Amino acid sequence: EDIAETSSANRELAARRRNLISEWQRYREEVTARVAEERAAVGQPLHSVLPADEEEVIQ
Amino acid sequence: MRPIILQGHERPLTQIKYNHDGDLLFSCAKDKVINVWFSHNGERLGTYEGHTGAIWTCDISKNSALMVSGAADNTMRLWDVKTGKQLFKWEFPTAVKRVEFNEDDSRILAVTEQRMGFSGTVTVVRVPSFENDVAAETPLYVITTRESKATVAGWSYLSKYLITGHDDGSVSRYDAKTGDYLESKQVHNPGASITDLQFSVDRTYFVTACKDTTAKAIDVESFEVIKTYLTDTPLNTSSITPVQDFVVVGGGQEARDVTTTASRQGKFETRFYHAILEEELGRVKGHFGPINTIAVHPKGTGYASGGEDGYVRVHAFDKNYFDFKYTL
Repeated sequence: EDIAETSSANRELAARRRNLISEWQRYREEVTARVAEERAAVGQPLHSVLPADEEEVIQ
Repeated sequence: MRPIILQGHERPLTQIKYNHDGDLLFSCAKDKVINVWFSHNGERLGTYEGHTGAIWTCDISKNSALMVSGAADNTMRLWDVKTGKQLFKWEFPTAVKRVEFNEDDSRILAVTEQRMGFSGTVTVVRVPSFENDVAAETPLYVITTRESKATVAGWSYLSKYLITGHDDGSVSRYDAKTGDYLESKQVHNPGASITDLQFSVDRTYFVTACKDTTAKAIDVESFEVIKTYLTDTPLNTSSITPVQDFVVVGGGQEARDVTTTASRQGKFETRFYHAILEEELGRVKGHFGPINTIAVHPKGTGYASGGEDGYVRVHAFDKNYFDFKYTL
């Protein structure tokens, strides 16, 4: 019975997390699309995270 | 991996900042000196000397040519990053607590302290075009904070809004072109000071740190709280990681309060939260006093923390950090 209870609790938690993540993804897509439009309207390129390249080490 | 410990300050750290590429790390402290370090090995590249009071804040232009700093000597100064030479100076009636370049590096905001006879302000100036550009001394506009002084401020994407965090736990939003007031919101416990405000990479939302022991993510457009991160200690700083969806916070009991609590534990750990799930993921120990400032590497490869203990600790994330995923 305990095992059944834990596994159902885990399932609930996992479902809650999945919901939060898909909600966030929807929210971010909306924002990104809106901001892309605003930026295009004023001719400013999109901001993005720079790639994590190997940093040049000068000795 | 072991952190690199930067020992270049004799007093508590106030703010640390990476440049846009992340190869340099700038540190401000109460000892009146700003240091710049190579972030990959902790070697000190140089210092910026001239301020005659505690340094509260600095920021670096996107191309890493210019650095701006604000201090308790009531001045904001512009520096040539490479040579260490001071290029320009603005004078204020009170201390400068926070500075920031806008997106295209054409403007700088300065949060000035409230003192008897002087209201706190957010003053916006133009970046001087040449060394004796005296016209740049005149502000473009000055926002006078009425209800509660601003403690921190920043620019949203496209320099559309100017966002301020206040001493009473509220946040405000202004039109960044004109300085016109738009709205305020009490997002934290009334009377709990907001101590930090850092933006997401695209500057569409920001995260606050507050003495009420929480950090909150707020959308710049809707101005709604979208996430809340609960901790058990007063927070001094919060930052958002690119690459992974994490929020990093730091704080701890102030020295003068430690003896008044039952547990003498100061809780001087850096804490990682899942930005979306709001769950705590882990803590990093190391500082001997409260953590005053945290900066995340712009490429998301590591982070650095600066403490009341005078040290900066630079951490590179391990491979398992990037592999981390919740099993759902």
